[in-house]
Amino acid sequence: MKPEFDEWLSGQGPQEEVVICTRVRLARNLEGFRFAAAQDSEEAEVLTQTAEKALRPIARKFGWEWVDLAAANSIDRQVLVERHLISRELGDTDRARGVMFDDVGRASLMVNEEDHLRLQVFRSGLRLRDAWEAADGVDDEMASILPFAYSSAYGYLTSCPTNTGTGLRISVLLHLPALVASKQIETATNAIQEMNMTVRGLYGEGSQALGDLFQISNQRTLGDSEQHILESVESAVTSLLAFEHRHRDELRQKPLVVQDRAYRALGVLERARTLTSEETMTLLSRLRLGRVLHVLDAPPIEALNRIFLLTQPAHLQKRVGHPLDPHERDQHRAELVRKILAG
Amino acid sequence: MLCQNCQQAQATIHSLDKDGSDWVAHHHCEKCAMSGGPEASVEPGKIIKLFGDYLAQADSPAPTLDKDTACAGCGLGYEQFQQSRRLGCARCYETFAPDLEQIFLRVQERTMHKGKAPGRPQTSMPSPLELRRLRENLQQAVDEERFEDAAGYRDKLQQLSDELGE
Ligand SMILES: [Zn+2]
Ligand SMILES: [Zn+2]
Repeated sequence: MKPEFDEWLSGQGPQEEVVICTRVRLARNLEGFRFAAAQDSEEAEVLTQTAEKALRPIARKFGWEWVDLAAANSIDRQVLVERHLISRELGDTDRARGVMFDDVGRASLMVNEEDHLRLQVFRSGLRLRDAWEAADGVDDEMASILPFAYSSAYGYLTSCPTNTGTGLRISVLLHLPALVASKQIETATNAIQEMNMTVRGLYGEGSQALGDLFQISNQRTLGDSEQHILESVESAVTSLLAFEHRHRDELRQKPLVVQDRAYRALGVLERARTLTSEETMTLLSRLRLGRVLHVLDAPPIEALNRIFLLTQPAHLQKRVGHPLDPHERDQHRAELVRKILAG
Repeated sequence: MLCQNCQQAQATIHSLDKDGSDWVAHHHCEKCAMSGGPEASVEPGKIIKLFGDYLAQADSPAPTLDKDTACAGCGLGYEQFQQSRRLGCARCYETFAPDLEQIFLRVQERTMHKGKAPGRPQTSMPSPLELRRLRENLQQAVDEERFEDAAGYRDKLQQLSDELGE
């Protein structure tokens, strides 16, 4: 597991100055097995082994590594959650389950999540079609090996009715500091919700988004074709992008304010001896905005993404090799931030 | 309910579509839904606003089934399904269909799949559930001295275990 090579960290891709990354997720279930909610432990075991064994040729082809999550320790599982390769639910539960993923974080396949199979494809920047085509291809290959639960009326059958149909959820992670600063974020997210999209802060549900990061995803999975879903997410994201850019243009009129805030953030990040994750996220956001508006020319975006990923609690603990209490984490976080910024 | 287009066949496809700022419900038979598409048959005077109503009852779908209903595929009971809003197996989609239609109208505003369908695997994979069911059937046939049935189940079991074994 080498999170520091995850592809999205490069920060390069279409619309990279606003869009951090794109994720496509497909939910699939195997015919003849009960879903996780109704399984007994024996069935969970058989399902996990059956899926892992059957999908080995695909894993080999894409260079995916298999991790038996029931056997993995809790910090390793937490690291996978922080890399978004598995869901928090899959990390925390204690039934038989696992995950396959490549070593640059471009794809992962969760086994025995709420649905038997959950395929995720990640791309940096706004690359909806690229991500969809990759997921679609893997899905076809899986379907040539395993029989999926499907009905012509409801499409792919899933454990939760909010995923039934295509089982497709497309998410785009956006950095929207100008909309937050101009207090237009609520108007913008309301408009996006009207377009049948879900908007949430990067962490947690409904609470304030840390670091001005927002995830937009399609709400509807039933009755719209995959192409239609792609187009609707694209159209929602495009309108948000335009909105954010308009407010960034206003910020460009007062470069000194943006520059001052960015340099202050850099100063704290370079010198602080303790940093909470909240403070780190806030400062990173100011720095990122300063970089994309070209009011300061270092550090590279990649360094900001690395800080963002590697200073999460499990990554810090994995790095030092033992558990840390929150106060110790704040110290180690500050130390790692200084190290990354020093290059 | 009759199809709002032909007024003859039963409406089996219900959808909610946005028309300007209003939510419009469409109820069609399969044939009309497939041919004209919902938009083709909206009559302006017949617009029904449903969205608000569905939102209002979001937390408590009216029970449509007997409370003792349980899924034959996985054993999930009706009350459990209503509480968790999670299905236990593919067959739950038939067992709880009347409730599901309501839930779909609320959370998806659609009730009919559009899009991809899976290809079929080249090799069939017997499921452990099928094996369990066969073993139970076999036991029952033996207990009831239906030896011809039992032999059939035994052959089928042998065949499936062979496939699983490789
Ligand atoms: Zn009709
Ligand atoms: Zn069931």
